[in-house]
Amino acid sequence: MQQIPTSQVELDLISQKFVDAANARGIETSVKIDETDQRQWLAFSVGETEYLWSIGVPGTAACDCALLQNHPHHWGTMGQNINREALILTCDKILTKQHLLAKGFSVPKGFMFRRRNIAEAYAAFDAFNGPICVKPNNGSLGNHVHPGLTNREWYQKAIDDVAASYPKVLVEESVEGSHFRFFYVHPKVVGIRHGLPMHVVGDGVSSVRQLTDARNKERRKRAIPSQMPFPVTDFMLDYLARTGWSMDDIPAVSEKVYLSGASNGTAGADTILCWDEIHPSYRELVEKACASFPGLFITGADIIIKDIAQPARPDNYWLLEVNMNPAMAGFYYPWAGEPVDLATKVMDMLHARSAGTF
Amino acid sequence: MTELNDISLEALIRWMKLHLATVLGEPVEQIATDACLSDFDLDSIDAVTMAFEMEERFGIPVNPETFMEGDLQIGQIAATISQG
Repeated sequence: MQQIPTSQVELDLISQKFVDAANARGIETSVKIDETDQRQWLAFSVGETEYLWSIGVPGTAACDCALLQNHPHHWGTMGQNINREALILTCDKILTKQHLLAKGFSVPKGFMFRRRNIAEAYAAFDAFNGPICVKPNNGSLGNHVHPGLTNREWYQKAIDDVAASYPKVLVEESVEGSHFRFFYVHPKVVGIRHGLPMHVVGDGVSSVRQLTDARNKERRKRAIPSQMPFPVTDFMLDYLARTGWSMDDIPAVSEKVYLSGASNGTAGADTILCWDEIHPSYRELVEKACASFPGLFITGADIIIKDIAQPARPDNYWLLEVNMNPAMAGFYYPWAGEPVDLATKVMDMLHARSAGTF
Repeated sequence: MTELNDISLEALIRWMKLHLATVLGEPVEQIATDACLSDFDLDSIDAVTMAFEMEERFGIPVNPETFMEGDLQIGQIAATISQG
């Protein structure tokens, strides 16, 4: 790899946070360029180990969020990922679900189907008593996630949508509650993000279209890197139709209308950071769940909670997934709430790891 | 764990066909040696799982991308792997 000084490269916003966290500890950074694909990596050493952080789009919060240990591995960058040991269990959502269930955690009931057996996926509609969620078995960023499906036509349409892009379709019960991402840096949860799906709040006179335009205008004005204006897509129009709304309808005063069920910032959701509002038992629960995956050091654990004021019980939360390369932008640039310096937390963990604490 | 030089091409082919039959939930008789991996509509997780389990079973280092070469037949992939 070609090595150049960090100062000669325009970094993305998250990589810059890693530079700041490294500098605060007196650790030097450089940028390494992989000659085979011209990919740029921020390099720094903690103890005897050199780490590589994937550099994203200059000046934005967009990056792959992959942290590698720089040693040769015949799997390439996948084999160098700090979470490599947990790769299979975390990337395959049905395996994640089975693992968590076996460890005693609550997960939504669900099944995985290959699109070559799509008729079986269609038939599974009858195996559920309530709303169904259809999504890719190894998707990301909230793409192609269809929650709250209650009739066969929408269900089959959702399966067709996922199957058009992914070989495996995950079908599970659509559980009700608020969606949170707990950011875990071994061995603790260090941040909690509430993902509020893209929505508008009625004023009694404006249409959903006008309210959406106003929201995007506000986003443009605030210019938060992870909360940029979001275009209304066909996917959202379908979601609106499913919930009985159109862009021309006028919601009542204070009435909330969702344009999506996805809670990812990249899918237009509002990112609200919280901590004390969530009963502490959920942090303990997520820490135990993450620790149950061998070799998982950094992850975003997604969980749906029925009532955040009540302690965790098997019937009031559902763990959805854990992510191998979790996005960090929302924790630095939230719509509301106190930002969390994740790069510093990661550096602390790498130091503890280097010192042989775990 | 079996040593690399003890592995026959036939054993590798048999293992690959059994593995595919298991993950696809289909009879092994339907997995032909001259079938291309693209015929089975695998994804990257399937490829990683196959590489991982092959390493565990035979001690052979295999890059998961080997199994994403969709136009190669099972027999051709096994031959490549067995030749190191």
